[in-house]
Amino acid sequence: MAKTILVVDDSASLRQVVSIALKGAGYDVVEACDGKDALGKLDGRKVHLVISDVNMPNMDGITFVKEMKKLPSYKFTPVVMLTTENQEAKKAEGQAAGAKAWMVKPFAPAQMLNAVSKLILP
Amino acid sequence: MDIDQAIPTFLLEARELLEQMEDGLLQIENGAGDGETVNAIFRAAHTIKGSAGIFGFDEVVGFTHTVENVLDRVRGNELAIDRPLAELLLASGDHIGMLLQRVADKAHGHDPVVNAIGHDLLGQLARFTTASTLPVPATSAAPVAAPAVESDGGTAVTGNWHISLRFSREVLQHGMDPLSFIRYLGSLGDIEGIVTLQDALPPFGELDPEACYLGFEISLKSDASHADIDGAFDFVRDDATIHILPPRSPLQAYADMLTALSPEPATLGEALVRCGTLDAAELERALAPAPAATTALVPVIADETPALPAIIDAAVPATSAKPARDSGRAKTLRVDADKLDKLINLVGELVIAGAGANMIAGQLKARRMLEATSTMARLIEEVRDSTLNLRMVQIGETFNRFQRVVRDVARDLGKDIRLVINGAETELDKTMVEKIGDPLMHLVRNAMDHGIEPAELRVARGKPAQGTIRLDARHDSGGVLIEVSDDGNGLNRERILKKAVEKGLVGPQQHLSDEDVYKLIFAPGFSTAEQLSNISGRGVGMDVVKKNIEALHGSIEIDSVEGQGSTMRIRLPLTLAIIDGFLVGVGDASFVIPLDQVIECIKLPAVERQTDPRRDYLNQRGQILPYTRLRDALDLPAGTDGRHTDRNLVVVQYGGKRAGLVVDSLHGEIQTVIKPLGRVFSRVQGISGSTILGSGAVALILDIPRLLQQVIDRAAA
Amino acid sequence: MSLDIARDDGQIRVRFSDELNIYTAPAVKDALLALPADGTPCRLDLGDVIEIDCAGLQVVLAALRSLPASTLEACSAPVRDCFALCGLDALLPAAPTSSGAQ
Repeated sequence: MAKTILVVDDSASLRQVVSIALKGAGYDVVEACDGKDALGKLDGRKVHLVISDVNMPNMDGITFVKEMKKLPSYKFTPVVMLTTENQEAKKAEGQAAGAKAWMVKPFAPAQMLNAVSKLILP
Repeated sequence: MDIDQAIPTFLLEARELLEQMEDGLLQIENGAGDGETVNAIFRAAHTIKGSAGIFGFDEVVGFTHTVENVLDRVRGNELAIDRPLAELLLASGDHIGMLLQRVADKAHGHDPVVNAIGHDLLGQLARFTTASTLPVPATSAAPVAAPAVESDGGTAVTGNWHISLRFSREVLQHGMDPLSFIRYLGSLGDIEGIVTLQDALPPFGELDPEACYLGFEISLKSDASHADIDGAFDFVRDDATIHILPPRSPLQAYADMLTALSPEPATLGEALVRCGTLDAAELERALAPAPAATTALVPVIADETPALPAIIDAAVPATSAKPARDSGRAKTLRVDADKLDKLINLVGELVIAGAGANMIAGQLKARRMLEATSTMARLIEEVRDSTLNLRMVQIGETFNRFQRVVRDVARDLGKDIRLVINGAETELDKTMVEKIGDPLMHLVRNAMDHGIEPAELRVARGKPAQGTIRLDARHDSGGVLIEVSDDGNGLNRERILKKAVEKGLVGPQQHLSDEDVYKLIFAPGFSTAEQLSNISGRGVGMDVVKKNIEALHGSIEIDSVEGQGSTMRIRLPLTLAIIDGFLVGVGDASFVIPLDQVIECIKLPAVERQTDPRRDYLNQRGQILPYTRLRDALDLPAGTDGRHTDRNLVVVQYGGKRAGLVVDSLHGEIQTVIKPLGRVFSRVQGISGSTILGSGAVALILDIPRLLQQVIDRAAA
Repeated sequence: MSLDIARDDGQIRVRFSDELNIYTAPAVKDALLALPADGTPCRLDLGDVIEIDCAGLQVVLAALRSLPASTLEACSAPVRDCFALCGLDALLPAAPTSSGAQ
């Protein structure tokens, strides 16, 4: 049974690249364009991993993680936060919220797959 | 892991051990060794045998085994090393070296000569393996039964990585599943053994199902790098205690890990045995208390030596050099020289890229950007210095090689000569250390052969019968100064002059200072020895020594007092990777001349610029100075702007010869990182390398010795 | 996640199904803790477990250690994989008696 990854980013192209790479590696992918949209996707389906951008309209990544941690069926879902280099303060805030894994943008798809495979194999 | 990959490491290690063995034997022969020296010699043989065994180098194992047996009896005070035995053990060490060379050469089958030597030595050693007067105690058989790793320290036999994982209680709540990391490790290689530690699990009633209590000890067979394996835990670093030990780590490293992880290292150690990382004997040795005590002692000895130079001077130098080397080894990481070169190359690129960024920031007049780039430039410079520092090695090992040389050569010459070493800890670039060996060898042999007088003559002159050769090294004004001195004859001014006149090197009436006379011995083909011996003076002369030193951008000078001895003083730069250069321009192209080869820059007199046909020499302060236009020498396009073309003349020198190079413009001094030439330029005469300027433009480094020769040849034609 | 506890022949048989992970481990612990501690042999049937993680493994290991005479009975493929990964093959029953829900 393929593992499901929720990809949250306001950039459609980034979502697309990430999705293609993940699907190619054998994961199922659910996409969301911001935090609010992502919370809507947590509708009872099984999600094994969340990859989320930090800066997004409507609801940013960190608020999303805080909200997700309140949902009993999703509170232990691992999160990989995508960040740009100068977001140390955000990173600290995100880690406090429970997002322990961070990846710096930009990254090559292969890099991302390697990082994801440390947390869950397809 | 393919075991063959480790062969170069084995060879390197074994040769170092052989050197230690030799050092120790020479010390004992000189009456300076003690029990620890004997132990060190024994350990060296023992370790060579042990590691050769892993690779299946049976010849090495077989021979070394016998040597080890003899040494074991010495260690057990059943046998004393006297001169004949020292002689035999030194010869045995040489033979092990020969067997190692066969391994390095991938020689197959049997070499009758090597076999004969080995057989002969084994026969001689056999006389020592069994005591002729005492009944043979069981001890001579003991090392056979003992495992192939020495008792204090030594390394584990395993070719697998060992990974030890402990997680924070919260790791699961953070969404991290320890099992995922183990699965990922499985993708980097084969998990050949794993033990899940459950001892932290509380009684069922007290179990917090959301907390993590498990730990793991893993034996991983993998060719992955340390960075790759460590990278598996990137996301869990804050939530885990991770220990990663490479294959064949020192037993001490396992012991340190066990002690760090558990109040009962021995109990935890059993998990290492269960997962196959250590065997029971290795664990026991790792946890034996003895090694900690010996390693603690070493730095104390090492610290004391620099404070007592007088004592070092008198004592046998190897004793002072060796503890320092041994204590260094524990914290030493062996790195492939190619990797280091690649790093240095990259740092070179970084320096250039940094300068480029700084220049662009300047052009954009972006103040904050400029600040940022200059901070970066400072850091890059530090990185560059530390990187170059990685290549620095102590000259001590090179110096110590001469102990054996001096001993053997002195015996051949029938002279009594001792070698005194100072500054063994002086560091210089690895390439230099490698390349300075031959010139030093020549100088030392020369000093022994021609410098030190026969004992009777010395006594007659009121000197001690024993001659002294000194090797000194120290840092001096940004470079390294190495001196080879003797307390012998000193150079004979009259004899050198006579010879030089005979050879037509100087006119009979020419008046020369002592210094200039001494320099004559560096002239090609010059040799003052009235009788050629087999020690020195065989064709290769001092001219080759000088040439080799100059190839390292170094110089040599002589100090001598007749009847009291002479000193050869070699100056070397600290590194070859970076040179101080002088930047000049011809047309649009830039060229770098090594600064130490530049004497002066002058304006080319207008009359010379217009002379046609062009002359190729000019009169400089009464001396003829041959010169060439760099434009012509390198076949560059003719200058278009007459006013700025060929305005300057740079006077360069090399090997005592001078010539002028005509260029358009002078840009001043720069520090350049030398990059090897691409294939395109490798055939261009007169260019020795390239470098990249801050602007991103390439500048070529001029091969001054070759250009100089061209100019002189042409002027003579 | 569902737990099916049955008693027969003087032994307790606990049948796990679906996911055995950090989300379900607390419930599993509570259920097992509620079993009578009277020494009745207890057999843990993991044949229908479709997913197991570290928390799931841990609760099973803790149960095996503290429940008297408890043994693993059947194990699904994911459970076998997990135990094998951790070098705990020795705890597994000899052969899979249930193929799991995959």
